[in-house]
Amino acid sequence: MADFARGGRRRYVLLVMVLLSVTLATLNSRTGDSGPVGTAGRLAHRVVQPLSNAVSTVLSPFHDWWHGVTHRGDLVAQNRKLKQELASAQAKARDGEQARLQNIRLRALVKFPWQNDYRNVDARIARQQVANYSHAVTLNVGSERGVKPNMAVVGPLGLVGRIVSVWQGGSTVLLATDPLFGVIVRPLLSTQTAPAQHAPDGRISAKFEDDSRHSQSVVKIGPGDTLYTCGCDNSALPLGLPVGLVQQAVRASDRNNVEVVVQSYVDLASLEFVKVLLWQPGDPYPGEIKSSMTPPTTTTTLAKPAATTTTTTKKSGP
Amino acid sequence: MRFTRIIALAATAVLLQVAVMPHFRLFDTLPDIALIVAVALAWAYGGETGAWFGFVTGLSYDFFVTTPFAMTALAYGVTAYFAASLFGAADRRVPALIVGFSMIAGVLSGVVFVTASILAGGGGVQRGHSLLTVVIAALYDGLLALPIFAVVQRVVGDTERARS
Repeated sequence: MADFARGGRRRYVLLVMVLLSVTLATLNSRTGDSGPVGTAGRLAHRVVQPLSNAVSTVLSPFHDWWHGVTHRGDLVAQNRKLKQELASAQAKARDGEQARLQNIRLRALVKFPWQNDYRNVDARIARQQVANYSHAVTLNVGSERGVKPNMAVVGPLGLVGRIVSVWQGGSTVLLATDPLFGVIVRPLLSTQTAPAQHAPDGRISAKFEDDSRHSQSVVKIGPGDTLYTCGCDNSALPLGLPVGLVQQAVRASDRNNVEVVVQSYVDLASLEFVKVLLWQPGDPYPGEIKSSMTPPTTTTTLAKPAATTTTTTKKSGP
Repeated sequence: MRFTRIIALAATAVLLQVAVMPHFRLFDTLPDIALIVAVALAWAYGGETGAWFGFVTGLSYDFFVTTPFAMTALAYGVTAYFAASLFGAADRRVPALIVGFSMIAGVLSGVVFVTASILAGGGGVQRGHSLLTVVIAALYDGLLALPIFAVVQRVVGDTERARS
């Protein structure tokens, strides 16, 4: 009889836990970061952050050692690749002045002013991903430096993620490699946009609408091109942040879309310092960004449908 | 007194999980320290103690992740609850059993977490990738089970006597 009563109580405990979980999950999804769960979360981060920073400092050598042990294969491959790149770079360096001048010309031609033109704060990744199923890291800057939710975080190559929660002294970044992270992308000099989402294989895929009436694709994207954030009206991310490098662009079988596979610029293993862009929807864009991202004014005349296309292109001034 | 020790154990487990273990990822996967502690407690003190310990530590952990809130709590709580029923009669002095049961607990917890997260609309949990993560995390759990069980027994006391 006692066993029966105890068994009933245990089942009751299980039921209470399930109900509590559902209630808390619902409460959190409805109130978001401003609700009691969000407040408790910020408090927990504030308490743990100093300890976490200290542990990171102390464990840094062990972390490097562990990384070396568990990623030996990667390191060997990376070392081989770096040696090849070094040999290639040395060969290029012999060209000397010519290469340098060419580099300057290319830089002038393709401006990447995305990083420093926005007001930003420097940040360090204080804590790496703490879970197996979420791609998020913790930064050492928070509300005291003007960081707010949804602000973009960039690394040396481009977009890293966006801020999802902020507290005094820290913030959490949802990485662009998280499947929950969606972004609308566009090529450099085009107004064509497409939603991009992370696939399970670690790459970003985007589908640009293409007009099947044309014999040739009107979407001009190819491998090696960079895709940028579009800065569309409803986008929380600013215009012109590099999202990734196009690896593959294939016209879909229905000929109405061009499917693009993009390699993200997030390389978490080598990422330590990032910048939080203090831009929020509604803020003006810096002039440099606007002029470099403005597409050419294009007038398209269809002489014969699906046959000849005459295009007059005029670069619009800033 | 034992309650205070269990609270200290919970705080230590969460801090280890959040601040230390991210530096020691195995194949880009983290172990579930708090889960193993919950299973150790459930095995020694019964399902209720383990389940509540798992639920509270899981909930604390949920503050630091971006997956649907309270899903880790549910996974840890449910796993610890069933761990007591499944392993309760087994001999806790056999190391192979501790390792094996911890792995099973890791798999069970992972499956509960992934299922609950998908139901809760957590698009971040991907089915194919998650399966591999569950398996690696369970192996890692098994690897750490013996020292964790030893620490739990040392901190919380003689579990055999406590149970009887």
